[in-house]
Amino acid sequence: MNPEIVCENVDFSRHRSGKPVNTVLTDINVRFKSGTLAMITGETGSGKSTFLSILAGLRRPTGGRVFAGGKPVSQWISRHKDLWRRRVGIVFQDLNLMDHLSVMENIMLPMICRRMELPEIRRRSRLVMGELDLDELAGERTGTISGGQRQRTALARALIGEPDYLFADEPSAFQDDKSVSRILTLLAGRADKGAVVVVCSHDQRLRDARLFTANYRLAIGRLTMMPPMAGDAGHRPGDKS
Amino acid sequence: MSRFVRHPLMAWAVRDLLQHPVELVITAMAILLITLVLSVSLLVPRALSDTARRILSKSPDLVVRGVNSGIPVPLPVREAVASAKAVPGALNIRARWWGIAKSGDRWVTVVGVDDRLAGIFRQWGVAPPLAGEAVTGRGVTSGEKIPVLHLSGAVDLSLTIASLIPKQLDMISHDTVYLTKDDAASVLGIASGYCSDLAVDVFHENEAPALAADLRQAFPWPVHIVGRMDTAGTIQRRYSRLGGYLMLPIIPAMTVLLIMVGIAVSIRRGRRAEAGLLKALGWTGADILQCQLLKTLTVVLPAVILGSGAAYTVVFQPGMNWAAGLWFGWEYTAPPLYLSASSAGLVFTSVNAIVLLPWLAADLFSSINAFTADPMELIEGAMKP
Repeated sequence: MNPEIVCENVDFSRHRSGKPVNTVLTDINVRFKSGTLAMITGETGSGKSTFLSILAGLRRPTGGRVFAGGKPVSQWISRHKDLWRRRVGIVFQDLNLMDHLSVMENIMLPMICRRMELPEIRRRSRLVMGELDLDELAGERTGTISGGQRQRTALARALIGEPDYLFADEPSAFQDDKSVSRILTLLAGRADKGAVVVVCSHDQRLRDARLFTANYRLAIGRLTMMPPMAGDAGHRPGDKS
Repeated sequence: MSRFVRHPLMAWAVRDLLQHPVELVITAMAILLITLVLSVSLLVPRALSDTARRILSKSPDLVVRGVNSGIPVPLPVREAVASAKAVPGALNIRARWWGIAKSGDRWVTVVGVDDRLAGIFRQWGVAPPLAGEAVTGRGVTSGEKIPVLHLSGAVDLSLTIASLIPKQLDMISHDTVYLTKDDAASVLGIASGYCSDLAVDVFHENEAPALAADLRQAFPWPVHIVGRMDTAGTIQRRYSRLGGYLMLPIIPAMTVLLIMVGIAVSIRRGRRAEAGLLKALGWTGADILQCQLLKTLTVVLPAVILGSGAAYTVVFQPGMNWAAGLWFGWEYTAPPLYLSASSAGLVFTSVNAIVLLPWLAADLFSSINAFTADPMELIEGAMKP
C-alpha cells in the first residue's frame, strides 16, 4: 500500500493540573500523499514539533484521527503502533542521540530490533554514513562531535531503515551550505522513492532550494497551505534546469 | 562469526551492560555472594538431614540394651538371643560388642566385628581384623599413618592398624575402631558370654513399636529398647535447631537482594527516556523487555551458577569441619557430607527461583510503561522533576 498520511480534524491540547488548558493544534485537516516533500514553517512554539510527533505516531492527538496508508494509526493500540513505527524515520529537533554511544551505534539503533544480522546492519550504516560524510566519525561518541555532525548522525539514524514516512524537525540548523544541499538530496531521494517526507524548519536555505512540493504554515494551532512560489517543486539540487 | 555475535539484540544487551562496568561487576559480585549465602544456608541442613538419614538406614530397626537402675549393663548373649527369637516378627537377631575407649587424648567408638560386619568389610575390599589388629575410621588417626594404635579402657591394648575404612564409609565409621569381638570385649570390660546389646530387624519399620513392646515382655531382665524412628526423631530435633540457626543469614541476604532489585528498578525508571527513544526508533515494548531480560540473564544467571557452585564446594569439599563439629561433635578431619540428587535439585531450584524471580519481576515491572506508553510520554515524562 502506498504511504500516505491523512489528518482528520486533529486537535492537540495539554492538560496540566491547576493550569488552563493549552491548545496547541486545532482542527488540522491535511493529506500528505506518497512522494510528497512537504515543508512546515511557523513561529517558535507554534506546535510544529508536536505536529510532527503526532504524524510519526509518537503521541496521540487529543482529538481527530491520523490515517497512514488508510489505517487509523492514531487509534491503534501501542503494540500495533510500535510495529508501524518501523516504517517511520524521525529527526528530533533536540536530536535525542545517545551520547554514550558512538556515531555508528546510534545509527544502528533502529535496526537492532529488526531481525537483521549484525553484518548487514553494519553494512547499511556504513552506506548511510558515507552519504552524510560521517565515515571518519564512526567510532566517535556523539557527545564529542560538533552540532552539525550530531545533526547528520540523527538524520542517518532516521534514513537507515529506508522509511516510508520521514519526519525531520529542523534538520539543517547547524549545517553549512554544502551539507544542506546533501541533506536535501537525501530527503528528496526518499520522496522520489514514494515516501512521505515532512520537514519543519525555519531555515531560509531550504525555502530557497525550491524543492518542496508543498509548503504549510502553522500558526495559532492551525495549519494553512502556502501558495507555491515560482519555481517551487519539481526542482532537485543538482538539476541543470 | 558466532551466532551470539550475529544476534543484534543479544550483542546490544551485552554492549549496554559494558557501558556501566562498575555497576555490572558490583551487581554480579553481590548476586554471587547472596547466592552463596542462600545456597549454604539451605544446603547444610539438607545435607545433614540426608547424611543422618543415610546413617540411620544402616542401623538396626530395634536395639535392645540391658539396664540396671537406669545404667546400661551387658546382656548374656545366649539367653538374650533366645528370648528375642521367641518373639514372632523379630528378624536378624544379633549380639553386638561396642562402646567407647580412649585413644591418646580422644574418645573413639570401639566395635567388635561379627560375621555380618566381616561380610560387609569384604564387600568393600577390607580384610576383617584379626586378633591384635584394628581397622579404623579416618578420623581416629586424623589421616596420619600410625602403625600402632593404643586403646585404653577396662584394659590397655596396643593394636596394629591393619587398614583404614574406605572413604565411602567414612560417614558411618569416621571415629570408629573395629576389632575382633574378643579384643573389643576385653577393652570394653565385657565379660565372656556377654554382649553390649542386641540388634533386631523387623519386616516393616511400622511394626517396630509393637514389636518393641513384645520384646520388652520377652526378656527376664529389664531392658531399654530404642527404635530407629526414635533415633530419627532425636536427630530431627537437633537438625531442626541447627537448621534454624543456619537459615538466619537468609534474612539479611534476602534484604540485600530486595534492596538491590529496588535500586535496579529505580535506575531503570530513570532511563525511561531511553525506552521512549527506542520506541520512537521502532522498538516494540517486547523488544525492550527482551533486551532487559537478556541483560538480566547475562549478569544474574552466571552469578547464580557460580554462587551455587561455590556453595557446593564450601559444603561438600574438605573444610566443612565446622558443620561436622556442630552436628556430630567431630573435632578432626570431617568426612564429606552426603546430599541426595533430589535434595540437591530442590535446593538449587529454590535458590535459582529466590534470586532470579525478583530480577525477572523487576524487568517486567520496569518495562510495563514501554508496552503501554507513547514514546513522547516516556521521553517527556523522564524530563519532569
